[in-house]
Amino acid sequence: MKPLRIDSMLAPAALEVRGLCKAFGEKAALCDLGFAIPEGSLTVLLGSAGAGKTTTLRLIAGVERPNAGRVLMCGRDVTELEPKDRDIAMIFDNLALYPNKTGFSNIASSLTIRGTPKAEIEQRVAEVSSTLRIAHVLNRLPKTMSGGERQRVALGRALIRKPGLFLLDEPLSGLDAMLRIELRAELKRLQRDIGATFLLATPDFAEAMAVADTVVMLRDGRVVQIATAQSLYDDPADREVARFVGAPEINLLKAFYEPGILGSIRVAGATITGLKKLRNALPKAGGPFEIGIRPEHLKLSQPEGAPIKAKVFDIEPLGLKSMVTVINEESELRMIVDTDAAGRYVSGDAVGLELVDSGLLAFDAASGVRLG
Amino acid sequence: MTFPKLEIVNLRKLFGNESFVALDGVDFAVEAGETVALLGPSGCGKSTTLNIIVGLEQPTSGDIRIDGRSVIGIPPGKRNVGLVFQDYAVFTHMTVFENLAFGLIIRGRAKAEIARAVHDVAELLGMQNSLKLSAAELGGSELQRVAIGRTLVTKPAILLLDEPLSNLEASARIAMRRELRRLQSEIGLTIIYVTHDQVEALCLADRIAVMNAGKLQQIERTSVICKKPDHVFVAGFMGSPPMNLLRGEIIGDGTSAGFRRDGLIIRLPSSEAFATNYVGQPIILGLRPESLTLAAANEATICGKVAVVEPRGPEAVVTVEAGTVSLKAVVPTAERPQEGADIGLLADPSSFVFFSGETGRRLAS
Amino acid sequence: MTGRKLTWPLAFVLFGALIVSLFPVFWIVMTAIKPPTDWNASPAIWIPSHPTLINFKTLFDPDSIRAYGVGGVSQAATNSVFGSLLASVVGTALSVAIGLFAAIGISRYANGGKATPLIILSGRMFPPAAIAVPFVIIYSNVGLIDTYRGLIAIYVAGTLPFSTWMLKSFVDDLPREIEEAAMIDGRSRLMAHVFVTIPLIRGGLLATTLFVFILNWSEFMFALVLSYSNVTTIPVQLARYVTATAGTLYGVQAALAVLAMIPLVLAGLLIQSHLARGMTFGAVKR
Repeated sequence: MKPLRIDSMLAPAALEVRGLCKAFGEKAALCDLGFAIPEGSLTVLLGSAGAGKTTTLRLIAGVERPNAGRVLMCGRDVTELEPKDRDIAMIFDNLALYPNKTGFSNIASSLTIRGTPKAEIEQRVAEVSSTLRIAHVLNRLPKTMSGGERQRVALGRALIRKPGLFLLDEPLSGLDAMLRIELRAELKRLQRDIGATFLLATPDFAEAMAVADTVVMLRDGRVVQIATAQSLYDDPADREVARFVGAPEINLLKAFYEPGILGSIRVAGATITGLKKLRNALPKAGGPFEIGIRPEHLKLSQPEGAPIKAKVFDIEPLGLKSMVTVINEESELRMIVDTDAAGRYVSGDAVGLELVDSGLLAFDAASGVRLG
Repeated sequence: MTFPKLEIVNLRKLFGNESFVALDGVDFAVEAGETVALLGPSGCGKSTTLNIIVGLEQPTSGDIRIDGRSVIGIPPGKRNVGLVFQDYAVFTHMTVFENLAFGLIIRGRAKAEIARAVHDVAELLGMQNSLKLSAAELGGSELQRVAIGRTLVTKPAILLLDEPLSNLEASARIAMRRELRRLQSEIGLTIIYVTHDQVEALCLADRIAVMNAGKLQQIERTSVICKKPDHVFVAGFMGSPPMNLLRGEIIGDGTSAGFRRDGLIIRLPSSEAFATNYVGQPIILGLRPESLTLAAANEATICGKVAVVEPRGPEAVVTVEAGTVSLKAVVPTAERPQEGADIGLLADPSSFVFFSGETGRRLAS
Repeated sequence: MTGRKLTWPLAFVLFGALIVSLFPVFWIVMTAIKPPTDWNASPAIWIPSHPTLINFKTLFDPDSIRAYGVGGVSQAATNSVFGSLLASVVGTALSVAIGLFAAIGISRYANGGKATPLIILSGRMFPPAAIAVPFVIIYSNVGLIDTYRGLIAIYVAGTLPFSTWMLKSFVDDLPREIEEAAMIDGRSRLMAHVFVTIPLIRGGLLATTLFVFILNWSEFMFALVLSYSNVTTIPVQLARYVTATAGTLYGVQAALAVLAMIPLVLAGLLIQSHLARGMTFGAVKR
């Protein structure tokens, strides 16, 4: 499989992996993985647990060797090199700070190992710790620091070397919701300010969307799609990607296309005409397919005159908006409605739904691949 | 006269020889059948409150009353309160059945009664077919169901859950939220959740009690709290993204009033007449990101540059910087601007919320 | 310590356990200061009325016990003390050093697959008596009999299963990401283990060293069969204090035993704080 490249690259990619394969005993963790990332970008490896994100990062870092495949950094083949000879820094999901060393020693460790003179070490640590606002924890041990402080010390340890590539493995996973949102914005800002190349692994698509320039979507050890975050949402490669990216989850329903002069689509017990954009994606001969309707592409209205009729089944508040689940004999649909509007309905009410054509997606009924 | 199911009365807790105030006069009541979420950042005291309700810790002063009677002296096992731990604490060397039956076995119930109770709870949780499995073989959400089931079997009056969804993966979390809501409506127990995630709190609870640094900031219905935060802290905590908070002052000449922060002046409509009472005082203006829309420069309330655009799928969060002011707005994806572009934002005055710059409390309008 | 009250049954059990475990030590110390007449006294004499240091003197000056009409002690114990120190210290050091790197290899790199760790463990599954005689024959043939080299080799081989397995559990408890962070920071693989892994399992390392040392220090069977005249250790010397005329010289044996205890007690005291951490199996938690 040829590596999926990002087209805007002229210079050799900051990182390229080709044909990476890794198996642990019987289990194949990675199969023929290939992608490339440009310098100065923040790329996210997105996938659920077990997709292969951590394995990929560890192979790039060099702490494990692939069974097959090459890793190249700025055009240089580093597959055989030890971690210390690759120009990288890594932040593990458990941070891996040296527990018996102070914040200062942790941050300075890579410089100390290389024998940098003391004065230079102190100056660079001061610089990094003021950027990250952790000057106050330099004399403390990791176990006395808060989660956010430890995370920043780990960042400081990585930043101080100014490596060519930063690898981050779920760096925000252990933190409070509020802190996570705050720190991910900081990470992005930091990456921009220093112009470094970041490769960040996460199972959280909202995190990926918030910070990524490009997302590499992994599943079962393979690359499924490489795109910008919004493209992953608007143009998923297959139905699994569509399901993974987006909350509440996309509605996937069996549908049938009747081509003809007007052309109509049967879905959720209704026959709907129009929907030109959707029909353009479908094979001319018609036939069964799977339709993907995001919750925001359904409009709630009166049952009379609406294409789809259903009953309210559940209203789940999400703050200023609510998720309303409706059902009819054919299917179940989830939609997003303003909480004020949702408050007018109760379970059991009859309602009508309309589809918004611009966002509808079509998938092959059997393989799940996106049509059109 | 009926008592609230659970009353927390002026709870105070000090640690470390009086040096650390974990709880500073927390006071609220929970009605029977209600679900309340204790929401706040790490260290706010929510877990301490939970431990005191269960009886694993004693308060320095204050009272806990269940059904009108104080339970302070009663040991945890006898308060008829069930606690589901954050990391489940399921007995991995026992089967699912043995785990669920544990509480009743300790209480010395008859075998037939135990079997019936366990089967009822297993059916409620959808685990009827897993009873013979060893707990060591289960995944995250299944372990959590066993943890919940283990407490339900003892038929507690109040159910407490400590960060129930934090250890689950994103997809399991959403599924489990639905499960918990279904359970809530089916069993009708009084439930208290402890969480740091406001999305979780909004989804699961009838009312949310926001805590910070040992104090209860506000307890309010879920549908109302995002729009009517009582305190700046609550405003900055609820919502994704949370409310924009601008520190500044009210200026006015008696007939019209405006909000000023450095070079930025926002005219306040005459409906905000009360604002004239606060001329010259420090004020914090709250603007919900959803209430800011893109507008042309001549109609806009604020003009600035787009600093960051964060796509979210159906919409995008746009961070706009104008001088010292940084605002977040939520715009539909189709309208999202480019980073670095000049932009104007129009604020909807009916959604303005004012807070005192000194106390942080909301000012009534 | 939780504020649990010391109830009567609990105090009874604790006190009982204390007496049972300390009594042998008490008896040995008392016996070591008993004059020969008190050694075999019946009923037993708990605390001698005329304590004496003659037993200790006899260890170094074998003829002094003749003053009590007891003969037949031929050699001083000094050689055995040096011998024990040599065999045990060197044997322990080698065993722990080899076991440490074996443990790291098995834990981090799965060296030897699934079989090797079990093969190492199986080295201890033989009752020493079963293999003692074959070893005498082998050692005689290769000229290792009655040498310290030979004895140390046996000590290392015999305790290697313990040192490997105990250290492996400590290394397992350490998250591997900490060493990998060091490798990424610039250490080579080997140095990452030397500078990061080893310091962080310090407690476990000390606990293992002490354990292995005790095993070697008190080892009797192999020291006995593999030594003639050049090599002697404390347990072997203890066995020599049996005469045709006066029977077993309990007092002198007890005196040597007291001397033998001293290094162990000292070592235990010195590393006590580290021992507590080591015994709780894990220097680092996430």
